[in-house]
Amino acid sequence: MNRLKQLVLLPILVLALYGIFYYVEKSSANQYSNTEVQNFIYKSSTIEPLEVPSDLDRRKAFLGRELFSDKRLSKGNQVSCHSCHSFEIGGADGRQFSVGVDGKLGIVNAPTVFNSAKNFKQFWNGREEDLFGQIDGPIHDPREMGTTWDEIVEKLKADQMMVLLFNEIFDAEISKDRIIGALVEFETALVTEDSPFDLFLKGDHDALTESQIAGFRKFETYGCVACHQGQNIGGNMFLSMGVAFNYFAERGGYFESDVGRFVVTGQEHDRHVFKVPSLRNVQLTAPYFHDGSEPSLENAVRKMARYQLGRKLPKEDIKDITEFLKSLTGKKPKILSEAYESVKK
Amino acid sequence: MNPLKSRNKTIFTIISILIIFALGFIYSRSSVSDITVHSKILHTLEQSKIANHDLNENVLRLKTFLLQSYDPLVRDVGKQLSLCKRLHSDPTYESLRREQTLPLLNDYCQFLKEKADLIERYKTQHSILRNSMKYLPIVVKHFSDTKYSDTTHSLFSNVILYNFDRSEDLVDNIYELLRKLPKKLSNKKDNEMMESLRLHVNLIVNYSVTRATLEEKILSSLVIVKLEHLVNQYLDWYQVRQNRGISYHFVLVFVCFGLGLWVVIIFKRLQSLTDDLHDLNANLEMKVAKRTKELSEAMSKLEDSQTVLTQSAKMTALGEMAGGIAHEINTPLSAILMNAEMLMDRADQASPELIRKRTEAIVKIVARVSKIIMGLKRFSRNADDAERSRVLVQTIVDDTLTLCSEKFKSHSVNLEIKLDRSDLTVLCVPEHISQVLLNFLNNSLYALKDTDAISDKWISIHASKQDDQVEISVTDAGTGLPESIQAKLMQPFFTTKPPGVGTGLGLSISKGIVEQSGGEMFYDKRCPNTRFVIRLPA
Repeated sequence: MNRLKQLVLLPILVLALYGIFYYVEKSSANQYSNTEVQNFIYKSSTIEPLEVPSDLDRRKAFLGRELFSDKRLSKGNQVSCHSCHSFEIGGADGRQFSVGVDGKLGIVNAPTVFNSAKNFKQFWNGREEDLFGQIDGPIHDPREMGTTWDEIVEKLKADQMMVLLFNEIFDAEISKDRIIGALVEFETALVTEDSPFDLFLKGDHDALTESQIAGFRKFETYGCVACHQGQNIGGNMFLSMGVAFNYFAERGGYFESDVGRFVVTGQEHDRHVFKVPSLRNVQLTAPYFHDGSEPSLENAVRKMARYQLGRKLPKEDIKDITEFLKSLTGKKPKILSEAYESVKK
Repeated sequence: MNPLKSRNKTIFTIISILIIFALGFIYSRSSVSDITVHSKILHTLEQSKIANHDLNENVLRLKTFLLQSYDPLVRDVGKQLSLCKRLHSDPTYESLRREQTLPLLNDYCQFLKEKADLIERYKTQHSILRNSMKYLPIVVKHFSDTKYSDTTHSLFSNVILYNFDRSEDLVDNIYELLRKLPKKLSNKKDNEMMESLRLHVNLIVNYSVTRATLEEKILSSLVIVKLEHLVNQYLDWYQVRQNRGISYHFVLVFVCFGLGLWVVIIFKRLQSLTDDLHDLNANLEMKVAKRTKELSEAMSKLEDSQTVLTQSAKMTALGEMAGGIAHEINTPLSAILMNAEMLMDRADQASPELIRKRTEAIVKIVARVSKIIMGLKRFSRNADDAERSRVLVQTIVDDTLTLCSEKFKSHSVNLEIKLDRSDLTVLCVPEHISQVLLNFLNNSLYALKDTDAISDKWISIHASKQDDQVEISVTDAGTGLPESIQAKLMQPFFTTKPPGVGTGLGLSISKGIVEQSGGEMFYDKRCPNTRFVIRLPA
């Protein structure tokens, strides 16, 4: 009798256990789907590799490329966008302050045009939300291009070639909005892909040197990454210049541009607050800071550590970090070397 | 009902216009809003909610250092702001920008912008705080083997605590501990570290306060409340509008139905009216034809009776004459008889002279009788077709008198004939004029014969020439006719004679005969006696 009981109970027990395990396994599998887990990882990552937007209108971008180098966009045909955002000098001009029409000097250092579409706001003080609004700035600034849209449209309309180009691409005549549209499309395409660091992030561990990898670790541990992060390694937040020490007092004297975001909001807490700039191609865009006061990258790193982090960095750490920063220099945007004809068809 | 009256027409037009306006009004109110637009609006509002939710979630992730990059935050804020912008300017979302909802929408956008600003500041505070919090343990560790170990350790724990519980006591405690630490240290490295410690502790205390307040502000921001308000208000409005639209729709359907019915009724009525009109038209034609036929029949009957009447008048005149004629013939006949009897009686003893004398008398009388009969024959001949000819008035008068002179004599009426000239002629049908004269004479005789009022009974026939006309008048001794009779004198069937005696046609037919001959006939009112005049072309 006992044996019979055992014979019946044992399989029941085994089945019940199996059932419980099955249930537990299934419910735990349901708790997080694959995409959710991926999302979680994605959201936690600090720096991501650059990507060229896929929905670009190539024809518009090519027209924008023509316009970018067109000096008719300034008073007296003296300068073009390219004059201060040279593709050879990392999308900037290597000067402390750019030279506009009639030899006038700007009041802030020209930021790079490369990857600028990925900045969360435009200008050092973030007064424009996007590139569409940004273009008005230099066009109207008497220290930069010092002209008006009416003048530009008139000049371009006199050029038969331009009329034809606009007709072909927009199927309409030349206008302010279409010029801006083309320029923004081009600037959006100015992405410096495949920097060694991006390749490293994508899994190519040989892309960086030992020193550069050490530099990245220090970049993270010292806390540079607290502000220079995201896809653009910067360009997604505001920070006051001189968190730990007074930068302006130690530099000597105040300039008009030093008030920063205060000009935009009028709030006291926005005084000396600037957009954190992107560190991509930083090797090429000297001199540094909004005032263009620092020509050396190593010194820039040292100053940033002092004023922003309140830290004094050893020489070898500065060197490593500088090496790491050099690995952020990407390839020249493809759009610059592509021929217009190849897309025209 | 007569819809063609101009007053009715105006009223009809006004009513039509009013109905059209009313229909337009109802239609405008009945429009149920487009479901695709509605769902689009709801979708966008829902997306805004989701974006807000994501944003809050990311802020919390940031706080717990689960989020390292600000890119997702930037993306969320950007998305929510662009949605807000779209709600504000895209024409699709027009119905969100009405009187009731626009302030709510503005409120929502305002709060959203404030929240975005707060998030910008929060990012800044967060970065700074994060670095300092990371650096502080390194500094504390540096002093772990020195005499400041206890102070720095308790400082560190107080700072960590302060991050969670920002009480005044803790701040006092922290500053107290900071004061305990020396301002300057002999070792250069230690000195630097001590400065860093002070700097970062101060930074943490300052920034954790602002960060915490910002965090509170962000997470307790009324953005979602405002959004809910907006959504509720919109849904309320939509529901009300939908209900109203549906009810007006029903009204519209009913009104249209009623109008349709009305139009059908009016149409039917119009149709029956036109049918009636058709029938009437057809009947009218028939009636007209019938009446025309009747008229022409009556006309021919009348014409027939005219001839009959003329004939009968003639017969009457004849009948009247018959007595006269009998008398006329009877007298010579008795003369003949007398002469013949005398001859018969004295046939033996008669001298040839007597015989000759008597037979001469008989021949003479027979000739006279023959003449009377000739006149009668001439008179009775129907002379309608006779040609007009120039005739001596004398002849006409003589012919007439042969028929009736005896009658006048028997009634002792003097007959006077007076012709201005014996060679007067008239252009006429002599029988007709004789008939007319006979008619006059008969009338006069009838008037005179039985009256005692007039002692001197006479009738006068007078003919004279006036320009190119000849006037023949018959006057009798009567004292004229009263005016009431004068007016009706020439009317057919008017007579003063007792029934059966006269037809009342004598004068009217006479007038017709005279006018047919191109002359005229009238009663002379100016004459004190009874005088009839005829004028005929000479």
